[in-house]
Amino acid sequence: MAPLLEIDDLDITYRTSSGDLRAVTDASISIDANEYYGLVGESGCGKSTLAGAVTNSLDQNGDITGGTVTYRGEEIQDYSEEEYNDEIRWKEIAVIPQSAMNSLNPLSRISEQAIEVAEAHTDWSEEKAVDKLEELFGVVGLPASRVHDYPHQFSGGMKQRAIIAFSLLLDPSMIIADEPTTALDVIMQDQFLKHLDELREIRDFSLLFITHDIAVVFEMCDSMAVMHGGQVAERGDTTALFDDPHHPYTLLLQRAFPDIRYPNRKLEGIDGTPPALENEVDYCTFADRCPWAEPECRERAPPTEVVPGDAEHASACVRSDEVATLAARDLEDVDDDHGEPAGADAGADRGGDESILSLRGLNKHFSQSTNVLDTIRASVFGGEQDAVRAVDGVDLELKENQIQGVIGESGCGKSTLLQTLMGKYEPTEGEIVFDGTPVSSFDKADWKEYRRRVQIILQDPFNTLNPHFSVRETLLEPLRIHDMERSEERVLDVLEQVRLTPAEEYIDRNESQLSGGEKQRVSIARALILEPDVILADEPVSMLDVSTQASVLDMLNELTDEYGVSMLYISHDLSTVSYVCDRVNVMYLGRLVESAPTMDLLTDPKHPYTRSLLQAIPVPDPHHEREWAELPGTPGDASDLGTGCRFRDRCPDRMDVCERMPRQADVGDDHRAACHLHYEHGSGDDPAPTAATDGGER
Amino acid sequence: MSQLYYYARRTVVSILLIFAIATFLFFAFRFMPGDYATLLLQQGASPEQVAKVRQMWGLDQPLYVQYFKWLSNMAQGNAGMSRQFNEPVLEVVLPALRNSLIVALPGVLVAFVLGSLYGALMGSRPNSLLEKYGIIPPNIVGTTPDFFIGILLLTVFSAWLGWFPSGSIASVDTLTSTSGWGIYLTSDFWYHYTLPFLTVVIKYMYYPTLVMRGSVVEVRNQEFATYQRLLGLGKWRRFRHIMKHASLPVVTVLPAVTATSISGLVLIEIVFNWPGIGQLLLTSVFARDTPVIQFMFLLIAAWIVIGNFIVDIAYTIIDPRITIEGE
Ligand code: SF4
Ligand code: SF4
Repeated sequence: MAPLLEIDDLDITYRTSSGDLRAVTDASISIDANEYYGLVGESGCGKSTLAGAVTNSLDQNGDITGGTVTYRGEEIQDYSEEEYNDEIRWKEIAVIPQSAMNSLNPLSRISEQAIEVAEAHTDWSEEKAVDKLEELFGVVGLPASRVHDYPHQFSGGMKQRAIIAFSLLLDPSMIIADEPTTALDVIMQDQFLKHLDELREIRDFSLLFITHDIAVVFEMCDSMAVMHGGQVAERGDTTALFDDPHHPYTLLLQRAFPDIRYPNRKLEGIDGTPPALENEVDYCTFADRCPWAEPECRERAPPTEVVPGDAEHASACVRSDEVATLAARDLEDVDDDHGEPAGADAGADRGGDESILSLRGLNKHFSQSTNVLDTIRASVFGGEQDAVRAVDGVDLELKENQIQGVIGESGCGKSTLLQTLMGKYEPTEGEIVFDGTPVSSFDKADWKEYRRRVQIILQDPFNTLNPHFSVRETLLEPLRIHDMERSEERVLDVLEQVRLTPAEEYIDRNESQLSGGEKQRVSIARALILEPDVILADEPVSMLDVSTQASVLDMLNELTDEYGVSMLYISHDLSTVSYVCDRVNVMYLGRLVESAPTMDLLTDPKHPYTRSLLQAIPVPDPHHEREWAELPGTPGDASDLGTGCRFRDRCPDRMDVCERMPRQADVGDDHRAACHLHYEHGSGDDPAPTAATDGGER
Repeated sequence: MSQLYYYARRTVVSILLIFAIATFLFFAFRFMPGDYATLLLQQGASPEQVAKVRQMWGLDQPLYVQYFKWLSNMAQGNAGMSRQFNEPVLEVVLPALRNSLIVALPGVLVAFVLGSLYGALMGSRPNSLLEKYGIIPPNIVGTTPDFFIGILLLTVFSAWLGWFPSGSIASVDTLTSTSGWGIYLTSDFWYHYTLPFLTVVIKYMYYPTLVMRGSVVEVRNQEFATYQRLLGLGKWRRFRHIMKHASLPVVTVLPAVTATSISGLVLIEIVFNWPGIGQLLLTSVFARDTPVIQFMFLLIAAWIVIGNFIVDIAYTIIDPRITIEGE
């Protein structure tokens, strides 16, 4: 049977003022009817450009300069916009965009928008379009009665489903999803993937799933292609690529990717960065990063060759049949990476005995009202009924030389917590104690010293550096602010610490001469140069590609070991958190619902929310059958909480007693959880609450 | 229900606000040095005459008595007497207001419509010559003082070309042969109307053009616009979606611009010798005609309060995301 979509030797070139740039070179993939196909690669690898050629949505300066795109036996690469709109768009090939959340026009009803789509491509009546949308709402599990709603009346998860319904509106044979889950929290991603997966049972269509997340592809797709530098490095069955990779990049990408099942496995970053675009690409674009590159690799683009015995499996590497042996040879000195989760030092907490930073019953509430009258009313008649309890009774002891994680979905209060620690907000209640002294007793000089000893690393290395500063200036600046000795030596030192070597080479660069990973290293260096005791890290690797993530995470780990820094690592991503942290705290709507040494948390999660979070993480292994987390709804709003357990509306184990706020109780060795499932009620040996304050029961 | 409640509350608040402003104005004007009577004195009136005038206007009574008198008069639609014309304030102000609004309202509205369209056009053609250089003319015009534009138009179209008259609301013949609203029906009026109207349009196109241009550029890059391109909706259809979004900030500046246009109006009316509130305000200030000034300030304040109210309502119509319970 001929494939539904066949891309053959496709070249795509961007015309720019500085000459032509080749974004995709000689790419070939083919997708069968009803097949789920994954296209993975790091940012800039050309995967979205490739999809743009299929959806006739390349940027104005992007041209197909060679090869063919064949859909149902018809060459469509040269279609004009009109032709494509008339024959293919939405009727044959539909798209799920990157941010389904904001893709519907907030000013029009959803049904009106569906009518417009039908009008643009069919001769359907309005009724027919609405009927169809109602039917599809049923398919994706939305109430048909809500087709006339405005998008803002839908929750995030519902918008996701509405977008899936939209993609199915004209019964396409193919759906292209471009990074549809990148902006989502893990629970939302899980719901989205579940819907896509279930859809296979009821509808016939092929899916081209474009993502940087190899785990999602291994879970969802039948076949896949890995792209690097505009070239398709390897393609074939997902299982074949997993079990028997024939391209070094596929193999290294797998090794760089964290797997929640093996949190102690050493992640290996891939050196270097994807090459900048050029016009002529007649070499292996992976050569600069490949540990096994040979002179031949740079002489010509390696031809794509089929792996013997598997006609679907092909790789573009001159050493493709050696990859397995090369990898095995290199691995000999490294210990078994798929070993038992709890390795020798796994459970060991490197933290010392002394707390450097402790939070005691910390609260940060925001009054919601912007209206003077309401504020007066609230202050006269008491109560802050509609205050947002962003942080609500958080207890945490960060020990010297320890990394602790705080994990939760967006809106759980972790950012507010961080900002309160930075002194941006004053706590509504509770106390922050730093090195034995309560922060509330600080005078101006103490604050200055605190700001030196407690440093922060932010999520986005692209915004945190001054583009006009060289690395040297960036690093000298904090020394100047804190009246510390400014020496070149110190700067070189700290650059070595963050592994920007040779340091002499980096010191004079400015922001534009640094890659994403290098920028993040510079911002870490900027924090380190002040010799802090505590680093607050806010999603420090979430903007980085997997290949660089691993090495930054390793570096953070080593810094703690070598220099005795403590770190509070805040993230929504449990896999990276568990890779670096000694202890993990799970936060849900302002409260810590569970807190345990990393290994205990992963192997024996107590709180139903923690269990769901763990469950929702995709596993980068096509042989692994993961069950969906099945966590309904979204966290909701931190202002309208009632008195019971904050998780009760979503909790699968909810009981009557959950109408009362559960308190933090010891549930194991140094392991605490706030859930009624885990302590006895009313008996004499009721475990003593560990928290000084117990907000919910007042 | 909540909607009704909201409007009711807004109405009450607006009325209270206007009342507060009126009160403030009343006292502010009482405490200002140099009232009308003092002016008479400077002009050579004898102290006895001044006292008589003061008594006639009740200026000799205690302040709170004056205030309550003034309040009860206002409540009955009596804004007092103009001192310079010796006529009821309303009869002085209303015709002037009418003359002004007939220029200002259509002028500002047309400016907003044209400016929005022009701004949208610029914003929707990235990297075009229009986008690069199209902003220059509105920038020049926007930073030129209003009266200067008026003078320029007068010089070109009246003095040089002789196409339009050089000022006033109508020729003497028309003014004597018609009265009240009748004047607006004469072609002579519209002949006089053209240049002041154009001045207002040209001057006030600046804001909406600028705001709309930026707004369209921003909205074009919003995800829904990208998605609509992928959906294959027609160009015109997409432009309409973008316009609707992008017009929100333009609607926001509308009342503020109309309100500030009053200051510009003063100058434009002087240039064109247009008998509107701008002129009236000026002559009243020179004549220390406090009842008239006070009433006109009140009108302007009321317009801003009411205008904002109208914009809020318009917002809820355009943007369904805005819930009006004020939660
Ligand atoms: S062709 Fe050479 S550089 Fe490229 S992946 Fe293969 S071995 Fe490495
Ligand atoms: S306290 Fe109750 S509702 Fe809350 S997590 Fe535990 S079982 Fe679920």
